[in-house]
Amino acid sequence: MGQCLVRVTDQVYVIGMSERKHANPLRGGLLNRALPEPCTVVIFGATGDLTHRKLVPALYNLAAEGALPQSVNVVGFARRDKTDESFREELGEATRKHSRQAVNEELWASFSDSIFYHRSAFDDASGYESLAKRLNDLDSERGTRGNRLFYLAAAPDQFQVILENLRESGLNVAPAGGWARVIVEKPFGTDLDSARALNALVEGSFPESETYRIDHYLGKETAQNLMVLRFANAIFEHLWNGRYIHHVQITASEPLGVEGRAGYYEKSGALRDMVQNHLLQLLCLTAMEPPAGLDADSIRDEKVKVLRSLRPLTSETVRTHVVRAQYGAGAINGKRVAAYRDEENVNPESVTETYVALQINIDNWRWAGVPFFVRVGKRLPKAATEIAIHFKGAPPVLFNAASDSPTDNVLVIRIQPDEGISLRMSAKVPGAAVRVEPVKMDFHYGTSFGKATPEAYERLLLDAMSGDPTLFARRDEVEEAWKFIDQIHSAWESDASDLAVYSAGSWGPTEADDLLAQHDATWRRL
Amino acid sequence: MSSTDIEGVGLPVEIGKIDRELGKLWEEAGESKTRASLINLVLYFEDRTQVQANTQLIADIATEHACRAILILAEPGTSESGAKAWINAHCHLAGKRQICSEQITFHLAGETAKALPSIVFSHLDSDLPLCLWWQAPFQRTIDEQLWAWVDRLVFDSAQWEEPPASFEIIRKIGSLGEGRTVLGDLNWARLLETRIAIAGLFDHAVALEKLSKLETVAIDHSPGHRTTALLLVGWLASRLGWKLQPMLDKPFFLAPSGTHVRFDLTEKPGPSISRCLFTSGDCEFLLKHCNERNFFEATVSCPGSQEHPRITKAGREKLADLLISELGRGSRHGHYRHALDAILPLL
Repeated sequence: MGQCLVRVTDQVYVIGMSERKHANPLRGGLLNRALPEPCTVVIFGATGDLTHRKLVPALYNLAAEGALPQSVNVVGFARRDKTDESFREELGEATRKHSRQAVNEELWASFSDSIFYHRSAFDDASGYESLAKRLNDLDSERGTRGNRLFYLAAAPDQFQVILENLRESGLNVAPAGGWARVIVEKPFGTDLDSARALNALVEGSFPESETYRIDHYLGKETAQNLMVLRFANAIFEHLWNGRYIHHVQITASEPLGVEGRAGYYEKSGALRDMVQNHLLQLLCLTAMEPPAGLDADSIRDEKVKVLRSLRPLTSETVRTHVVRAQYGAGAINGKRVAAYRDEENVNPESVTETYVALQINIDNWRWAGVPFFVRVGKRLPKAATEIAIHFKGAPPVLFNAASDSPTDNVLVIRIQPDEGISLRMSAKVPGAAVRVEPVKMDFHYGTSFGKATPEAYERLLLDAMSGDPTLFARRDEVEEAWKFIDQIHSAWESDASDLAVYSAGSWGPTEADDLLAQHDATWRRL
Repeated sequence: MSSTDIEGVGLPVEIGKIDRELGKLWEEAGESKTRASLINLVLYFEDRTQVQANTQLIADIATEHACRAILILAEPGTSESGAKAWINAHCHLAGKRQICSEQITFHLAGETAKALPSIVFSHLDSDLPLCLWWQAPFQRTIDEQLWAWVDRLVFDSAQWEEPPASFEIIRKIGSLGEGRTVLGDLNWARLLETRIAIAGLFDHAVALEKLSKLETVAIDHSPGHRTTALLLVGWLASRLGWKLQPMLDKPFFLAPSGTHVRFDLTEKPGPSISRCLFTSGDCEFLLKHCNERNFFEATVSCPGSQEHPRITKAGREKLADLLISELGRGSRHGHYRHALDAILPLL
């Protein structure tokens, strides 16, 4: 079954599935987007945090908004002893707590009738055999037509055994007329070798076309809006190159520390946790060429081209282009907080970075000479994720001849929180004198579009159920990103003397400021 | 403010000074309030008792669709002529910010009602789309310049006294300006959840097989919503390829399979559509509105297969909700015209 891009109206485009033999003709044109087919979502790691906080609330919200067909079942697969009823009850509680909209008890009761619990250890082959039987029963009872979406929400070290068992039990192959897909949660490996191994493992069970690697940043409205901003507005694209852009800053800051995730974070650090996936994805969306179409592969082809154009780093350039640091003790919102090395379960001599700033160069025609500065950190003063396009300044003549204030235009795309777009420009201050000051034109999503923005997981689950992989990472994207990140890690492994320390509550080490100073730039004040 | 008292709708202003007065209003509000606007929403009505209800509608709609609202009460039949205007704002909290939409209300009495196009043109927030909600009967003489400016024309065909004539005028308006105007019938928006729930009845492969062999359709609708029920039948007919056989005594549809599909519309107090029953062979598909709750219960009964009653969201009944849904859609209703074509002789 292929995908096709359907132009629904002048303004609304949806990626839809080609007509299926057994499509319900009453479904056509009901919604602005393709409605998924009836299916069963099987969640491995169903008793975990992700299921409770994100996945089931997202599915409930989709059902409550009529975005799902009535026949969508959820089967939780985990080893703990539970019944369907107790599982529904605990998910009900979690959904009441985490759902973005208030839970309607009657709707929940109806929705939760389609939730089931399947008890098995991940390595127990008989558990998959009984799962297969149960899914077949659900297909015939509830009309899910053999369509299955397997969600790997378990710990990454369990992926192998789950995928192998899915293959051994034949669950990776859909019954005739149906489909079988898999969603893989990040991290997609810890380096290029492990990513390749994981990809080979997944490929052994599911073809690439049915594999959905989830990066929830891509499900955020503003990330999706980046392409609209660039390719639906004529005014930006002409300026979107090295001729007019001085540099680009991509920032993801958060005041939180490791928050009980020390076990994971000690192994990953900021570079693997954030840069390899989220920030490089944002960089790709910012730097990519216009795709040939809006179909998944056209878009992902362009993103991969950006990753392949990243200038390789050597041990020498890692030293000059990458700053890593770890937070020391300090204060966040007036409260004293401990240094990273004093956090629970953190090695007191840990060299794990909680902050990274790097200069990335893209060696292609469009971006030659334009540095992209990426920074990510924990225990920074505020939570903000944004992309800032710093345009070259106007010539130092006329109003800019003697100006001390910054006059460069800056276009900021705020990903979170307070999603929106702003543009800084110069304006005359009213009065007899000619005084020029920067002003900001600001667009807030929340102000203009009152409707609560759907959670990223809602959009991504819906897309996976509808067979639209546009917002999911493709195998080559993941591997190219690791190839770049691995260069930094290998340089770091040989020498940890460059690890800087910054006070919690500050904007990071001064070394990061030096990175920009070489290019006559400073980090944006957020 | 009593329901007929227009004076209390806001701050009275001279028509020539509306922009200046609005400017002052925002200046006084300072930084605590942010004016937002994504569309020009014009409401045209001729019933004085609707001023308060329409003001409340704007307040409800503005929480999801920031707009410049222009309410126009026209009373062309009055002997006295004159125009008056008022301004006010609707604010709501969005996070820590107060977001406000502005409302300008006009009263056009007697001859000045003819000045409608100039009133609209001179008070639009520039560069924003124009959505016109026409709450009065449509006039046969069309001001082409006005209609050609409208990006989205909203109306509620359930309110029409002469549906065939009104649909004819609507078609004409829709064809002006190379068909640029999007037609938004709130009666169609009213059916969205009902159509989704009906489609859901036939998702199961067994049920889907029965869909092409439907034999009867029975719909209960509230008084005044016969056109709503007919549009629903029209939607089924257009999606399933049924052709109307306009028999004088009892019209029916002819399905592509040759089956005669009989339909019954029954008036019953309650929500606009309270019950839909479909039969196909020995299977029954029932959608029933749960009393006093905004849900449908959907049940499929086929011999030998298990019944799974499901609860789904029922249709919207409040006008504000319907308009919010209509404005949120942002696209043309491709199937609306087909549904309408399928039942035109029955209107």
